[in-house]
Amino acid sequence: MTMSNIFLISSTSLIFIGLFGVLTRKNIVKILLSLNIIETGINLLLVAFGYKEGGKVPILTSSDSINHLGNMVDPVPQALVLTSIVIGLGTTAFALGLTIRYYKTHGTLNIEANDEEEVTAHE
Amino acid sequence: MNIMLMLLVVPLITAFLTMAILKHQKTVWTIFLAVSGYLSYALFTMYGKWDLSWSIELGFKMFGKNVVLSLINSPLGWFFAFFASLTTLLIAMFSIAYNDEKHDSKTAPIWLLLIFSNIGIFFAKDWLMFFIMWEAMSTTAYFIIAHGKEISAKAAKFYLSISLIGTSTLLLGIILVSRLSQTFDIGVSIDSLVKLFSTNYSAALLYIGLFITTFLIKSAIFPFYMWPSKAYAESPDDFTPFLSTVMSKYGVYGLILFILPILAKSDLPMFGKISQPAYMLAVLGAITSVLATILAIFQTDMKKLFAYSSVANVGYIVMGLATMSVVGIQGALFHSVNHMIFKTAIFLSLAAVIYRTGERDMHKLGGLVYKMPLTFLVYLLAIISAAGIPPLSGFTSKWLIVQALMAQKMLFVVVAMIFASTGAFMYLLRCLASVFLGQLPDKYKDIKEAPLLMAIPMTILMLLTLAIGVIPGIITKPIDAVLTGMGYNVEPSSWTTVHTALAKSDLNLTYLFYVFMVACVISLIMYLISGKQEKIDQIDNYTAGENPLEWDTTPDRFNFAYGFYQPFKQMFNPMLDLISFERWMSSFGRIVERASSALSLLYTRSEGAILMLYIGIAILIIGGMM
Amino acid sequence: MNSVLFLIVIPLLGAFLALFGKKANRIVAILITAFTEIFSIMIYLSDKLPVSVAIGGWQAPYGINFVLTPLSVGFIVLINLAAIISLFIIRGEKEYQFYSTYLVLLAAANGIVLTGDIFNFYIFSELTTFAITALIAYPRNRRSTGAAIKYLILASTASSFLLIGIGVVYKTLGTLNIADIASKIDLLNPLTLELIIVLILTGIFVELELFPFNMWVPKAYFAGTASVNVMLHGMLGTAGAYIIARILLTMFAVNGSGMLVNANIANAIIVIAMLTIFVSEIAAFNEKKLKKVLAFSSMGQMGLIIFGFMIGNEQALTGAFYMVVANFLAKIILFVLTGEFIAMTGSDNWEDMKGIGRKHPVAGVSFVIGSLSLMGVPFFAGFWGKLAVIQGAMSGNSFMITGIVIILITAVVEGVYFLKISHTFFLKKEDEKEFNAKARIHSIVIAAALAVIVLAIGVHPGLIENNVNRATNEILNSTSNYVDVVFPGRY
Repeated sequence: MTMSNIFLISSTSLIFIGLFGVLTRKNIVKILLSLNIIETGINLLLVAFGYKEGGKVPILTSSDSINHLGNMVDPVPQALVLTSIVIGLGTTAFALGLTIRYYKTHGTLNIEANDEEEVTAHE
Repeated sequence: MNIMLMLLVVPLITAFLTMAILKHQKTVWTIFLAVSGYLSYALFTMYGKWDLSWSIELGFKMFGKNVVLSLINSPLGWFFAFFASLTTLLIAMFSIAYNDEKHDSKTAPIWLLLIFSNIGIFFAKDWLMFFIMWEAMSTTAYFIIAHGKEISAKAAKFYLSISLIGTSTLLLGIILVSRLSQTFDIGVSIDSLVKLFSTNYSAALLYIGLFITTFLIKSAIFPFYMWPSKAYAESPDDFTPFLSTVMSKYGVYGLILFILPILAKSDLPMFGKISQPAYMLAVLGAITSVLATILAIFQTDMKKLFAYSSVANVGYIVMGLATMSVVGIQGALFHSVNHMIFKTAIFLSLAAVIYRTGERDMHKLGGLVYKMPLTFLVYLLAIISAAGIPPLSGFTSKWLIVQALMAQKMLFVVVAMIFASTGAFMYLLRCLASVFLGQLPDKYKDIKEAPLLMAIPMTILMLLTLAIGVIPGIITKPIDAVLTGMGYNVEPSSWTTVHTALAKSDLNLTYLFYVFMVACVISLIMYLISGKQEKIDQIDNYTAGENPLEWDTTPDRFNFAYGFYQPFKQMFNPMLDLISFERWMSSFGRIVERASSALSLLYTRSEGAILMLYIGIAILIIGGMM
Repeated sequence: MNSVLFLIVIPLLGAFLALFGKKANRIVAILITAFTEIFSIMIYLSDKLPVSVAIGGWQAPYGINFVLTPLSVGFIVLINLAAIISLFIIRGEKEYQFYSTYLVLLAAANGIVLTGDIFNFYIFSELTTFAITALIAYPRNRRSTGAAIKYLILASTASSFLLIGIGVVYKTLGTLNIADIASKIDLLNPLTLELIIVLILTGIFVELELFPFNMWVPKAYFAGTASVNVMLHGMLGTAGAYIIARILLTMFAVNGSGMLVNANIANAIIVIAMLTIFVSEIAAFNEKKLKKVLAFSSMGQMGLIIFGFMIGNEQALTGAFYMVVANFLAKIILFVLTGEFIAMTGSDNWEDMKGIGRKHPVAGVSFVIGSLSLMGVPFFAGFWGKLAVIQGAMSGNSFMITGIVIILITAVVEGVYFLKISHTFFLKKEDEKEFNAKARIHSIVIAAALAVIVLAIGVHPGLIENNVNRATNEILNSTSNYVDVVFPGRY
């Protein structure tokens, strides 16, 4: 079991756990938790894609690091993951805000609550 | 300026013009009359000039080159267009008087657009133009039939559903056929279909089946014969004659233009003396006529009754066409024009009655002959013509069709035709008896005769039917041109003699006319030299001299016309229930509605949104693995 | 040429500044949108297309580049047009959140169309999700929060698949640039390719409103105001059509010929498109709420458009582009008028809207013109597209022929409900009471102007023929028209 395989398996299992959660949970907060688990899994997966066995950190520390370019872990997925973490942050924050509003209008956190019982159309 | 372009442009521009000044009814309808007059005149001058055409190239590419829409003046198209515009002219005169404050349907601009598409359909040279105008016609007709009333909208919905099925079929047929010949030209597609019949019989059968379906839908032939009763009854009263006489001929035009040449030139399996597809058409026409006649007999609403009558008449026309012989096609074309004349006369007189009394159910009317004698006379002559009695025009065309059927030895069809034609007496006379004869109800004591502007077109129609009855050459000469254009050999017909199919059965109509005139004179003399007549009150006639007021009862109606043909209805009801397409169609409509509500509910609840997502992924994965 | 960044940066700046503005927000938003619209039209009409702009000077595939081709700039023109129309029909005062998120949506929609890098595309797509969610949830009532949260969850789940797909692409091909991926696609083994395609498609189908990914659509349209509907359809829907063209037909194409590289999945997509059309038209038939009817109709149109795109020959592709333009125009007319009608009668049901056509005949007739164009009736813009698509599909395999039959059958259903609704506007009202609010003239003017354009294109399709042909040519020869632009000299 090489390191990249362990990474791949663990991240895909995280993704599947999250998918299961999104599918079966009825409480919005639980669904958002599962969504977060999916996103964590994906981030792990992306980093794992860039991993190289026995590779070094992709930072030029001294003048001869440039000879070891072939031995470095791929930095691009790491950049992607940074962006993805931020997007995940934004999604979660936004969704939680919406959830608070949802609780105020629906009175429950159940995602299957009926949306159209009262018509309070603004415009 | 190219006259064909003018034929298109004038109605179009006036349509937009009248939309702006819709408030002034009289002006709008007068403009309508003027446009119809102009069209009739222009078409009249176009007779004989069979090479007039107009085309426009659009910037849209298909089959590798830009599409071209074109019109061409052909004898067949001219025939239908000219007589349609004459009918419209007469109806337009009627409409000016009909559309006063109370009855105005405000549909004149849409009607003008309909006339615009009319010209396009009859003169189209390529399928694209035909289809464009066909759709325009369907859509505008929907809006006119519905004309802003809720009941009419429901009836129009039925018409619309069936009409749209026809449109889809037509589009599919056009695309299939144009791919064969890589062009949209109608003449070229006829030739390529003929070729296809010899190579791939079932595919060719499918292609013309699609076209035949559309034309049958539009002309309300079995199994699509249920929509006229609803649509005609609820449409504006002055539009119903147009709907019934002109619009039902679109399908007939399509059959003659496209299907008949193919059936004539192709190599098809025969059934007796004619080919199988043609025989099937004849059988459909026969079933339509018989069914429609029976259904007409049961109606209590006068417009529905004559809606079924129109369906039956188009059935005769289709039977005539299916014989594929010179006499049959002559009869069919002649009957098209005759139908335009007498049906318009009937519907206009009925519209005059409805205009004055506001009542459409026949059993609530009666005795109107006293108050509206001119309307009665028009109606009487029209139904004599409709029944096919000489010396009026209807006789000639029905005679020709029966002759043609017998010459082709299509016995079942002949029997059906004669059954339907004679059965027509029952409903034609029923309406006469219910509406005009009998006892005048008290509430209609003071109604007046139809206004002058209504009386004029009705009288003209009456005279026309008489004239064509005596001098059929007016119609048969243009028919000669049509038949020659289609490739049949005809000897030029004379003005008064009609040449038919069986041996020694040429009709000399002047002779016939003289015989009838002599009969009329004899009856007139008998009336004049008969004894004195005493006028008595109508009530006395019914109460045999007694006075009901003495017994504290009111002079009631003694002429009951409800349930007129009750035993007949009981006889035929089981059979009708068996083959009621209307029930199938409405149940189909209900199924669609229920499916729609169910699906809409699915989306409203949207509980399984994520589940659906995964189902979608599954579809993609499975699809990829196959 | 770096100034093309303005299309994205200026709206984002505006979004930030709008947080502080109060009354001036609306003016600022209109100005910014007008600026982007005029700028994009200027780019479209200039001779410099096609060109690839490397942001920050970092050449592709190391940096992100924006690719300006006739297709993409054409779509940007359409998107900004929808944006400006949606601004004009806003009713009432909106707080700063509305304008701020709207400007973010504008920037993101422009970004989706402009970008040449697939990760960049993912980011902009996430941004549109946020922005649309916020706009839908703006009224803060029960309907809108429900719709918004459901859309957010669905969209986030889907875009996570997209991200996995992007990751796999990077792992196998080593690049994130769309043009680069397009040229390297045959290096993949078929199973990996299929995995990537399925993952990426899952990500984008939610935005594209295809069945069965479109459970969010009716709720979202119903909950949003009329202007949000126009944004949703005009900006997101049009961007969606562009995404199909770019990702499916350019990135995953066979040798740049405009056909999907995996024919089985292409058939699966056609099946999905057919299901979408069928389900949405049937669902719309009996629906009483007008906005939901239009939402279902939008779904059906997207199904039709993707059907046209997937067929693969020139005729169908031209037809699909015609349909995109016609659908864009007609639907905007309908949404604008629906907003007016709902405000005037205070009811969501179209059955309660009797008599509006008699009072405002121009509005009624424009609605009729919009419906007829969507139905595909000749003389209106939608006809040519439908005709070309059906014609093109005839030469395809049996899936496509079935698709044609389904399209023709649903055309009947579509025709009946649209004309039924259009005619209801012309019925006489039973009671003589006045409507709740007056119709605003500028909305009716916008609707009428668009209706005239629809008529003009319908009668004379040559008006947009050139532009459509340029777009079609670009897809059909995407190697020379797209990849070559980004990497000149590679071929």
